[in-house]
Amino acid sequence: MSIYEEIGGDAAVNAAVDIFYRKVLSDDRIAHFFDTVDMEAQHQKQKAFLTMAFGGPNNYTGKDMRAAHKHMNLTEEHFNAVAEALVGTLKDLDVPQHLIDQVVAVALSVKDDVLNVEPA
Amino acid sequence: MTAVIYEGQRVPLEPDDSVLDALLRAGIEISHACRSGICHSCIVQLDHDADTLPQLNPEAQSGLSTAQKAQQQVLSCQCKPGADIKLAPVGAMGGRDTVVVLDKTWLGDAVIGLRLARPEGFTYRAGQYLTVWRKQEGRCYSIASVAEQDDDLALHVRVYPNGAVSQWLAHNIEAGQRIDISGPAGGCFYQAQPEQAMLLLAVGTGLAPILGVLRDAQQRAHRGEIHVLVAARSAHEFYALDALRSCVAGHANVNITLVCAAPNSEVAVGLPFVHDDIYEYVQQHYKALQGWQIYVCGRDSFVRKLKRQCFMAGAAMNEIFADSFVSAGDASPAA
Repeated sequence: MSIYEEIGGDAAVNAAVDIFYRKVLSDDRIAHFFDTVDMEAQHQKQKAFLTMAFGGPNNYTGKDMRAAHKHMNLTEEHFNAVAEALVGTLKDLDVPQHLIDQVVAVALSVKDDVLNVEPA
Repeated sequence: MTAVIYEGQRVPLEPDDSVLDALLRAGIEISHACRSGICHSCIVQLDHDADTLPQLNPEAQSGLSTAQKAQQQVLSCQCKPGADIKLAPVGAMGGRDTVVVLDKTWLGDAVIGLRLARPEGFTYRAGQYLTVWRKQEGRCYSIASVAEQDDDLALHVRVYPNGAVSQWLAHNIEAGQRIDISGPAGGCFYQAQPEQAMLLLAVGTGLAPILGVLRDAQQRAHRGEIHVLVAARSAHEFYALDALRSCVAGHANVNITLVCAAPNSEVAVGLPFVHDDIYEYVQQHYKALQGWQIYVCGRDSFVRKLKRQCFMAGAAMNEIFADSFVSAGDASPAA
């Protein structure tokens, strides 16, 4: 079983996305990246991100990740803030720790691309 | 061979092609990203009459909202039709109808109410909008009438000093004349569970869709509480108070409050009336909106702020419906 299936698939993403989006909008370190005019579009992006982090269907490439985040000049602090929101969301939903660890591993796997740095 | 007809252009579908695959191969530009039905970048819209709708595979609309489905939107990356399918960009479709203006009245200082004869076969939900055309110039106005109750279409038109269409409607169009309309479109219509609590927020002619949604809810025997807040800068901007009062009469579950920013501007309205900033008022009185259904209609800044406030107060994103008005030009309601 994939993490995505184990965590509850699309239903889990739907349960998580509002909680996650509220967390990032409440976090001054990153709220400005998410506080855009079109809340629905932004919400949909959060959903796509969570689907990916939960190991669900996606066709993002490292190149896509770099291109999408390049202009934002993101730092380690921003990445950590999003990761905290992600972990906090999963805890709110009582997701078992071993699954949280796997989700964090997926998020970490795109870190270099998101921050647009060379792999260490 | 099965084909996609996109804005009239015929594009053949290879076996196992999605609509998106075929369109991209033909060099048609469609925004897209995940190709998994998640990101919603590639949504297009069916361009079929109601009685010739094609059979869709279930994935083609998986994850779309009720409103998006009602507007026949599909995910082009997931859509694999078994027969020819006609598609168009979202919001780009629909022919015009010529309709008679039945009545025109001034509802407020700068707001006119129009009643239009409803064309044969014009199906809509109260709160959706239609486009009124003056030659090539179109403006969108929300529909305040309720299809099952009213024979006609009712619109509220904000008359702007330099409004190309609103000035024309206010001064050149009289009852008995004909105008062109198209539509309807939009997803801001009643779709709550019968027992669900509802919060309806309006400013300006955002009242038109809010009245439509409210009357539609009542017509469908909504049993949950319905809180309506109508906001204005000063008291003389409130209008259609008779219509609001008649929504309260005999409906114990409906509360309507007028929220007026300017102090010392009192009007005898026969409805609860408070002096407060609408954003403060919502913040103070609606702190826990889990499970509520929310409707927000009016000028763009009002809609943006209150949507966010309601979401942060716990309303689910898919329970917030909005119509955001801009004063001219594009495809959003301009009432």
